[in-house]
Order: sequence, then structure tokens, then C-alpha cells
Amino acid sequence: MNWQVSTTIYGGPQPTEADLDSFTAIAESLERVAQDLGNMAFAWHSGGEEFSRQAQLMPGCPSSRGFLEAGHTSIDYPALALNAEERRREFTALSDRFRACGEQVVRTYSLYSEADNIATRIISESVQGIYTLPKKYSAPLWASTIGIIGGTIVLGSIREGHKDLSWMSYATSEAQEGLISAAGALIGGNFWERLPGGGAFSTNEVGAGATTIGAWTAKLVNLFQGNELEVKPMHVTKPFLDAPRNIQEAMANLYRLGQERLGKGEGGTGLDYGTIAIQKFRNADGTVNWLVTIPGTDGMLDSPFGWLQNVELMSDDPDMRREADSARMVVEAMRQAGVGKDDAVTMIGHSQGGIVAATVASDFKDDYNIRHIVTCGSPIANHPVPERTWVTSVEDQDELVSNLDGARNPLRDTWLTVRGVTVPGAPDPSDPFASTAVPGAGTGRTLTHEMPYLAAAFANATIQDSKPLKAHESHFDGLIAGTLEETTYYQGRMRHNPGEDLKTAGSLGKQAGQAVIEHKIDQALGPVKEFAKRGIADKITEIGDDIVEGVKERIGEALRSVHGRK
Amino acid sequence: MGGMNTTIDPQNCQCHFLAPKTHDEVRRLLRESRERLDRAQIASDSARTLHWEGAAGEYYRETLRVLYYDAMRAGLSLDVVRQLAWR
Repeated sequence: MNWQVSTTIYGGPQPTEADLDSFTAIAESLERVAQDLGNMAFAWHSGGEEFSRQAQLMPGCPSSRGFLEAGHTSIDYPALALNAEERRREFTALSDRFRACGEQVVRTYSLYSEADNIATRIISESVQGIYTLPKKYSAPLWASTIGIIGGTIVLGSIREGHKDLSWMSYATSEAQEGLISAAGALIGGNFWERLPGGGAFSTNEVGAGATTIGAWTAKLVNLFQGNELEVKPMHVTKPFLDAPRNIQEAMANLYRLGQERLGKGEGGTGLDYGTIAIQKFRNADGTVNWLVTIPGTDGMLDSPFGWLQNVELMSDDPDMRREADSARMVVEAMRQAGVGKDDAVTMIGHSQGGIVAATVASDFKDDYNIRHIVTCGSPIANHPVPERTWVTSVEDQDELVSNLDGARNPLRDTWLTVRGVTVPGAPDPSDPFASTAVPGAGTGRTLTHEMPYLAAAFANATIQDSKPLKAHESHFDGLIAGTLEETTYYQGRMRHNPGEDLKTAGSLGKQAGQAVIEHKIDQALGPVKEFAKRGIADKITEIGDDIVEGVKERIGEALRSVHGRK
Repeated sequence: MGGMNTTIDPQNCQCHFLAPKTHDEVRRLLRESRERLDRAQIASDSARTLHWEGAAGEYYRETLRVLYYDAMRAGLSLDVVRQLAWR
């Protein structure tokens, strides 16, 4: 089975208000025409059925069989009905083509992106609100959601003929952000966020949840992996990454490096897991720019790019993010490469690599001059990336990972998101800009988080010639326009340090002990809290009743005085 | 055409009662179709003025140009309907 991606572009430098109005007017006029012609197609369909029905009402009349005979009507009913059906097809095709033209304008000029983001936010917050209801209401919802997801996985797996978890991602695509926010709020949200609807004023419930979980996982990771990080430059046995000239080529390099370090690439380079690349460009004026290429999670036991590091990177606590092994590794590699405080740095990362890029841009903003980051399938909506850093995010609609932030990316000139929708089938050759084929995609449904899907999404966005995207591309291209002087690969490994391990184990034990004590205190204070809550609720009800009574009395008095005057 | 004997007496055939209704319906469909196709041609003409550079913009304009003529062709096809209703 072939797969194709079509994309919508959100954010980036927006046209002037006047231009936006004129683009919107054009898109709307094309959509109106599409609707008009669609309605006409329906009218022809109904007309055709009516002509057939009329012919049936006069079975003996020659006109009902298409014959012309004196004394009878000359209408050729069967041909008329057939022709009406032909007109239906013609009008439907015209309607579809006008609609496609309008949609192309909408996608290219990011029209309605703000409205779309608001609508998504409403859906996400509603889902979150429902799923954070008291347990007796939300438990059946969680149970049925899990049931639906499980059922979809089973059905999808039967269809594919093997176990296929990608169907989970597909089944939840529309509600992922809301569900994840709800889970984040329940795990780590504050008092208000845990209340049903309380999360409506916040989009970073995930960050709070990640901080709560990260407080544990960081120490567990340290116990398993050790907390001593070793970063060293690697010698490649043959030339590997060349100088990218644009985002697409940088994405291709990112994919090649990611595959190579997992042993699925071309081989023969000597590169292994836990490796990133740093490229140094010399500009015409003698200054130096850098490009840091960071693949995603490799999950190896002594790699700084393990699974649990993602949790720390997603935290709303900057200290926790900074301390994540993968972020430390990249920063240490940048130090070793000689990246200066004022040198312009560009970063590109897939999945965890993108979160690391956002973390470096956010939490090391005083140490480095991060000018542009490109993130592929990375949940970074809640990272406080400064406005001076350009962010180009590439995501896929049903790709679970980039939805893990539980929110949509901000819309601003320096933050642009390319969001793809992947559907089965080959692109329509008669509409080459509508979608782009995913090269090398498997036969079944796969996770669209993989780089080929995201690269196809970006390729589709690029061919639209969208002005906001062109601005981002030319900003990125300008930063790597110098002459490539060197490409250095750095490998990170986690090691145990007995003294450090003991300290970690001790603090983990202390943390566990504290949690137990807090739980006991909670249990002991439970009835007291409940009593107090009930007391407050009674008081509020009492005050409310007083107000209602007071208002009733005032209205009664007013009515009496009106009647009295009459 | 014809040549087929009918058992229905032309004077009492239902067709005299139904034909005016059919003609009304065909007239309405033709009138509304022409109006909508005219509007489609005007819209495709004005949408082509959008300043959009590059291959996608060229393709967009070309699509609209073809749509303009296809709408015109669809208008001409309506004549066939008219001929079938008024032979």
C-alpha cells in the first residue's frame, strides 16, 4: 500500500491584514462556488430520479421508452434521466476541483490557522475537562477509551496480519492532546488543573505531570545507567554527512545519521548509538556558524538518549530539563566543538533530538546564540523558546509523539508548524501539489513519527511555495550558507560512579520515604479535609440561598410598588 | 423513430399531464445551472489575480484557467438536455 501526506502550514510571518483579507475572500469565493456546484449536482441527481419516476407513471406512452410518436409528448425520458446523471457527475467534478483550488490557497497562506488552533484548543480542553471529572464519572470514560484503543489495535492488527500498535495512534489522533493533558493534570497538575475544566486556562499540564514523574525517573535512570556522562569525538572511517544547503537536506542528513547510529544505515562509518553531528561553517566575513544534528531516542542502556530522558526534557522545571542526560550531552559536545557564545547556531532534531534542541534554545539561551531550530515529530509546544530563535516544527496529525505536549505550537512569525495528514494511496497525478508520496513506506499502517513521513510532509509543504515557509527556509539556508569546514561526530555514554550511585540511591530512598509519609499524612488528614470541605460547601450554599431570597424579596417589593402606582 | 404500436390512446395519455411538469423542472435546472456556471467563471477569473509566485502558484492559475473553460463547456453541454426535452 502507498502512503501520501498532505500538509497545512501554521504560523510564520503573516501577510498584511489587507493581503490576508484578499486571500481569504478568494478562498471563500472558490469554496462558495464549490458549494453552489455541489448543490447543483444534487439537483441534477434529484431531477434525473424525477424524470425516471415520471416515465414509470406512463408505462404505455412511447416517450417513456424514448420513442417519438404523434399525439404524445416529444420528451425522451430515458435519455433525459441518463443525461441528468451525466450532468450530476460533471457538476460534482467541477465542485471538487474548485474546492481543491480554494483549499490550496488556505493551506499555502495559513488562512484560518488561528481559528483552527482555537478550535483544537477547545476540543483538547473539553476532552481534558471530561476526563478529569471525579473518578465515578471519569473512570468509565477512561475504561471505554482504553477499550476502544485496544479494540482498534486488535482490529488493525488482524487487518495487517501482525501486531500493530500504530492503530492506537490512528484511533486517538483527534483527541491525543486533550487525553494527554488530562493525564498530565491528574498526575502533576495543581489544585485548579485537577478540577474538571480547571485546565482550560493552562496548556502545560503535561509539563507538570512530567516534573512529577521525572523526579522519580531521573533518579531511577541514574541508578540503572549511572549519572556520569562521557562525551567524546568519534572518528569516521569514511566521509558521511555532507553540507546541507536547506532544511530538506538537513532533514535527510538527520535521517541518515539516525539510521546509521542504529545500525540500519549504510554502515562502514564506525558511528554508533548516542551520536550527534556538529558541522562548522565559515562565512565570507570570517565568522563561524554551526549546525547541530540530533537524532532521536535510541533506547540503549548506556546512551544519554534513552526513553526516560524524554520525561525530564518535557518537564516544566527548567532545572530538570537542563539536567536531562541528552541535553547535557549535546551542550557538552557543543562546548568541545568550540561553539562560541555569539556564534550563530542552528539545530535540527528528530523526536527527542528536537526536544533537546528546544531545551537548549530555551534553557541555555544565555550561553548560546541559538538562531533557528528545526524539530521533527517533537512535542515542544510548552518549551519557552525565546522569540529571537526561529522554530520550524514538522509534525503529523496522528503521530502520537508530537502530541505528547498536549497543546498546539504557538503561532508567531518566528514559529512555524508544518502539520501533515497521512492517508493511504498514491498521490493524484492530476493534482501534484495536493499530497506527496512517502518514499519507502511499508505496506501496512505504520507510525507516522518516522522520519520518511515527516520528510514527505515537509516536502509537500515546500512545493506549495508558501510565503511564511519560504521565510523560514531562507532564514535557515542563510545560517548554513558558509563553507563547510568540518563535520565532527560526538558520542555520549553514561557511566556509573560508585559514590554518585550511593548518593542517588540514598536520595531515592529518602524520596520514597517522604512519599510514604505524605501518603500517610494525607490519609490521616483525609477525614479532616473532607469535613472542612463539606463545611465550606454548606456555607457557600447558605450564602447562595440568602442571596436568592434577597433578590426574590427585592423583585417582590418592586412589583408591589409598580402595582401600587397603577 | 416510433414504429412501435402503443396501447395508450394519445388523447388520454398521462404524458400530456406530466410533460409540462417535466419541462418546468428542466427549465429550472437549466436556468440555475447557467447562473452557477456563470458565477464559477467569474470566480475563477478573479481568483487568478492572486499574487502567488513559484510552481504551485503557476499550477493554481493554470487549474483556474482550465476550470474557466470547463465551466464554459459544461454550459454548452446543457444544450443537449434542452434538445432531449424539446425534440
